[in-house]
Amino acid sequence: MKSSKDIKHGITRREFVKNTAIKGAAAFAIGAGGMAIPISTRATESTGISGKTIKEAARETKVCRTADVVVVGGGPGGIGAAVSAARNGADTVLIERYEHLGGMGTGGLVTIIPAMTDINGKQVIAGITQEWIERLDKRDGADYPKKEHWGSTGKKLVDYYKNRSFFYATGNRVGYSAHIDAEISKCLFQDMMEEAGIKTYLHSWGTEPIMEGNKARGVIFESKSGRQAVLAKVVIDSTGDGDLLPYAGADFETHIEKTQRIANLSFSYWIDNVDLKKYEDYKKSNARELAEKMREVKKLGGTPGFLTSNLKNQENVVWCFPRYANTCQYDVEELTRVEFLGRKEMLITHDFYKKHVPGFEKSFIVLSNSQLGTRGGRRVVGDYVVKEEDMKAKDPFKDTIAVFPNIDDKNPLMYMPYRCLIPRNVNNMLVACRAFSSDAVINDAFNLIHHCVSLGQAAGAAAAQAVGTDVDVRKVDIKALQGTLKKQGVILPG
Amino acid sequence: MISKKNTLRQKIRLACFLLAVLLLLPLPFWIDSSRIFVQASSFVTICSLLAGGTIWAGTILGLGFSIIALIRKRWFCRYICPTGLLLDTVSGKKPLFKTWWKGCPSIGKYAAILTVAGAIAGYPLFLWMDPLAILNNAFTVYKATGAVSVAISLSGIVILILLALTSGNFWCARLCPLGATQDLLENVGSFCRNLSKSVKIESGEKASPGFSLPATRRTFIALAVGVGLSLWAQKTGQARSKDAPLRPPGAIEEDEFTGLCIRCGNCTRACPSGIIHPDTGQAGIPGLLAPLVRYESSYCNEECNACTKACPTGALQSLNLEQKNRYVIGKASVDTSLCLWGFSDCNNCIHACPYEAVKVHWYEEAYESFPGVDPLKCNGCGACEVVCPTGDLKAIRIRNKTD
Repeated sequence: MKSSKDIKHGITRREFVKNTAIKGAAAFAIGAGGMAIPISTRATESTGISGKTIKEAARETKVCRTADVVVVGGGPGGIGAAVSAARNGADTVLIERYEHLGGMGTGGLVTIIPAMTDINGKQVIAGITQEWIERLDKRDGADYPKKEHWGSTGKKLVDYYKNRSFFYATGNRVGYSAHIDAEISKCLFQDMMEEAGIKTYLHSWGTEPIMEGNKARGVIFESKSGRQAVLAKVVIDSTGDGDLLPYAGADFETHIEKTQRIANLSFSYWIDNVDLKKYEDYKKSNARELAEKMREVKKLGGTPGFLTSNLKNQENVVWCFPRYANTCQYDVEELTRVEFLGRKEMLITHDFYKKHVPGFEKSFIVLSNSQLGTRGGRRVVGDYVVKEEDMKAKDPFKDTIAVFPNIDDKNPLMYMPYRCLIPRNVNNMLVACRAFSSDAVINDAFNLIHHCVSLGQAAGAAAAQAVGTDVDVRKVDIKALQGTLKKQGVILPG
Repeated sequence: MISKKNTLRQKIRLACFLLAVLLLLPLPFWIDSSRIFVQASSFVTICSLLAGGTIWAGTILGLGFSIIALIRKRWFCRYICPTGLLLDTVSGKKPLFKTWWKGCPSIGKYAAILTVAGAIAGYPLFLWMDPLAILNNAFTVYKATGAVSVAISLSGIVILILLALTSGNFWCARLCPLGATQDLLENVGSFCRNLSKSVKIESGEKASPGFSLPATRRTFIALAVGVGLSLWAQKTGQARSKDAPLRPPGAIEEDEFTGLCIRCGNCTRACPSGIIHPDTGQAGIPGLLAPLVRYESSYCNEECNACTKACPTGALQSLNLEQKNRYVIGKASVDTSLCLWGFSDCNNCIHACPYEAVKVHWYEEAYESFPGVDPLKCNGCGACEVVCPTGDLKAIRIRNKTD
């Protein structure tokens, strides 16, 4: 659509740089974190306080830890990165702003790991994602099509799985996608941190990289304990939105088309005590009436449709994922607006369902996301920017560190190069989350939970290797890195 | 002498029957085979030409047999008709009630006249009674997807066989509009011959039994009723809404389509995707058993125009691939309250569309994005509907084109 073209979300890097230069001021807060940047060389006002900005006083900050690798953000990317770095011998610190680990996969209630198989039903994504699912299995915390059914085109099987979850069959083929338990995932992630010996800080907001020229030397984080610093040889930005990028002097892109998937926030919640059998019966015999009701709830501002949990003993739980268009997903005003709107509409939806949809009479809202579902923010400009054309590439990159099932039928595999994790012009830093270097189309297709875990796992192993061999992250021996990843369960070409 | 001639005749009939079966079997060596087969019927050819059907090589065959019918009484029935042979063989010597219908007038003749009159008015009413079309339709059975469609494809021929078992050649002698067409043609022929004879000889003309061409009251009534019914059927056929069934690509205007379509099943059989089904009443009485398109398991493939090449009457116009892909079967539309794009990132329809007609649209007023359809690109092929995962009620559906 023409109208949506060239609409920038939030503030661009260029605007940011321009603003900073014009003001010559130290403090310009951008997006999440809202931290000031102490550059005071051209400050003109002696008090540092003007109408629009303030100048913060320089201060001593306590270094609470010195490590090999510090990972900022304990979501899918950060977990992959921290676990992988620690397992490969690096002394690792993980900083997470919420009280739990797992990010979108737990607190965001994006409790679906979609499409780990390619269009032929062959598993493509494994590694730490696979380990996560296997650990969940031990506590009945995951539901997915049986392994022997992956790739099957049998109509009965396909219909069965399609009916169970939209994600279990793509086209007319059963695939490997999993519904997962958010609460159990939080528990097993902390087990994984402990087992790997990772120093973890929860309730800690990693805000600003400590830079020495273009070299990252550590991270400052805020918590109830105040402002503290972690020094490290490699800094990994797994914040999702690339929160460290503006302060690291790294280039980044923010453009997203309004019509893209990643242009939307989600406010997710669960409804419990739903008589799904009753609902299914009603749906079968009154499909048109139900459709009419769905139109009505939408008109009222609610959300039609839901997914069933499918997890063991959650036969009465449904998942709702309303989405919200916005102007910027790392703008605190927008985040607050959508939180408020999401909660209002959650009540509208549930009230309507309870009153008008058979099966929901005794239902109740059991859970809402503790963090908004975010899909797209800043994207670093890396040593290589993965572009739409790369989806059509037949051959893997020489530095392929992850392979994803492609959405393009003709090219069933998407290869991700190591270079897309390295911010251009910055040393000792990696980006391991959806902020990896990519255009909007690639980011739209490959920034889901399991993609981020894979990128994280590669970044962690690379960071450990860089520390171990005492080289910058962009100089690590790719062959050795690929060998390490393969040994640790990652499926790579060759 | 006579028996010798008869054996020769039987041999020719048998050969024709075998040839017909060969043409109708699902051997795709010649896409036009079944189209040619039905076009051999004078009844179909004449009526479809009158109703504005297309003229092509196959038409010549039907016209050829029509010319023979002018001079040789029911020559086609005696030498060619495979349906006739089948019925003769079935009825054998001892049908149950052989003679009850002897006093019955030739219903087929009135049906034929009604249909010809209707054809002139644009709606050949009883074209579907053609015996070749009925036999042809029976061969559609291998494309049947359920008990209902098996029953539909076989119903015609089963009724004829039952008639033959119980009442001998009642069908051939009294009901068959193709036979009656030949009688009418023969009447025309003999009338012309008599006319030329009567110039020379005043008396001794031999009247045809039961019916002769010169206008009778019944013929006029039949003609009038034919035109009347035809106009009525066209009018009912026009009552179309967005929920009216979809016709296969190449279908002419609905009000003429249901008339010109002889329910031969060719298009159903030609369709490799299996999306063409006989109408079981969705389009009202005029559309009964005519083909309609349902996107249950597949869609109208962008590399196929087989059905448009299979129609013997031109109810489905013959289209080349490019024309077929531009032909609008219907238009897709999205029900955003059923669409999963809103909460589970489904974009099946967008990927499925061969014409890039489905894209996510931004709706400023609602401040949300949802898949939408470009009506200029959509031809209603149904690829999107097939892949839509919302169960019985699809969020994206091909609906009838209405102005």
